[in-house]
Amino acid sequence: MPRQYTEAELKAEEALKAKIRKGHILESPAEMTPGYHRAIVVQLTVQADTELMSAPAYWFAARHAPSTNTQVSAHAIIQDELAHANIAYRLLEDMGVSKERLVYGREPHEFKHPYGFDQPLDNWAELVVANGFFDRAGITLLSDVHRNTSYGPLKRALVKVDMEETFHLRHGEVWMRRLARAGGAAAELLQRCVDWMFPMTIEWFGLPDDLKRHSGQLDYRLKGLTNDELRQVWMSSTVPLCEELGLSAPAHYDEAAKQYVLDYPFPCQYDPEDKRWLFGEGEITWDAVFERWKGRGPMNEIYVDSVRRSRQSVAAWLN
Amino acid sequence: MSGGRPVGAGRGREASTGQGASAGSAGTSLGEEVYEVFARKKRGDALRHVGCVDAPGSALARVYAWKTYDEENWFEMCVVPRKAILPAGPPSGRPASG
Repeated sequence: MPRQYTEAELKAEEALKAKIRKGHILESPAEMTPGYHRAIVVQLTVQADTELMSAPAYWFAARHAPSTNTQVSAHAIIQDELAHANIAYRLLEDMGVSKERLVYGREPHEFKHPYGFDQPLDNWAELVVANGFFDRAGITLLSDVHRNTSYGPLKRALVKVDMEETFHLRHGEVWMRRLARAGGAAAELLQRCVDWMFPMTIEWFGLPDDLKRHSGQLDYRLKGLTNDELRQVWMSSTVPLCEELGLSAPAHYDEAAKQYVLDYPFPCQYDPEDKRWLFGEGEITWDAVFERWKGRGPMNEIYVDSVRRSRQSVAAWLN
Repeated sequence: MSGGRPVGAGRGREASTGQGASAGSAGTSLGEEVYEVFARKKRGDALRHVGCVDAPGSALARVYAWKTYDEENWFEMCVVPRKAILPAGPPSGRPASG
């Protein structure tokens, strides 16, 4: 737990927030207050861990690529994700946070990536829907950070990330379209993907605004939109895509409310073995969701181990 | 707290490369140090800072930079050890723009 602030420290935090409201951009960790530092370290850790853990999830799934061309595009995406992770950990290192400890010193369950990247992607359809849904969530979150962040080095680092995530998303959409057009078993498999991966991505955006604990990320302008706003942005492109492809997504646009509305109890429980959301059991508490997240998903240890299994032996040869 | 860079030693001065810890950021157990990466998109463009990499020497720094920052088809790219970048500016150590 952070200790209580003294009056002078509180004043410094408020002064920095006021400067940031007027458009001030920080260029070095030395300019951060402790509150700003804490908030951006949390944000960047989630970002870096998410990019890192997407790599093994996609790598295991890339074995299902149906051609040499798709092998190349699937692995190009994995290479991008690893570079994005690397860049985010590098920024953290400048803030005095050890990349060594973050990547190699934590238990698998201590990583901060979303629960979605603890799940197995078992066929080509699941990989392309992950590109279409999960990478779209990535762009939604990170393009908001790119537009709004008050930390200059992060803003510049995200130019590359945004550019490449857009390619991943296009890869996902193009392939979803091909599978949907094929109909039959391909379209059925695609629908099965939407059934578990749509709610998985919805949950990824986190607590609804009315329950959100104050994190400082908006005050320090580390992002611009709230969780619910980001969820709406994601749905505003995902729901029309599903409709266009003849896929049924559990959400619709409500003309009166002028927003997308979910057609299932949210949040609700998930059965990872069966890859199925238990809509019938009704709404659960966010505490129950956090409990499930904390327990991590079926692939957590396997994925973490796959990105670091030879670290110790090679380090031992070199030292 | 952040970075280990002496506050006031060219505050904001490393801003163009974007980072703090000029002396800190000592290595990991693989003995890496920080290299800043600069690239030019095409002839006639400015050489601009595109990011940084950790590497255990200049040979690998060049490889890592080229592989990490592959979002453009760069005309030219180079790496500079961060510790070789020296802040310059008004004697007070304050950047002119504040």
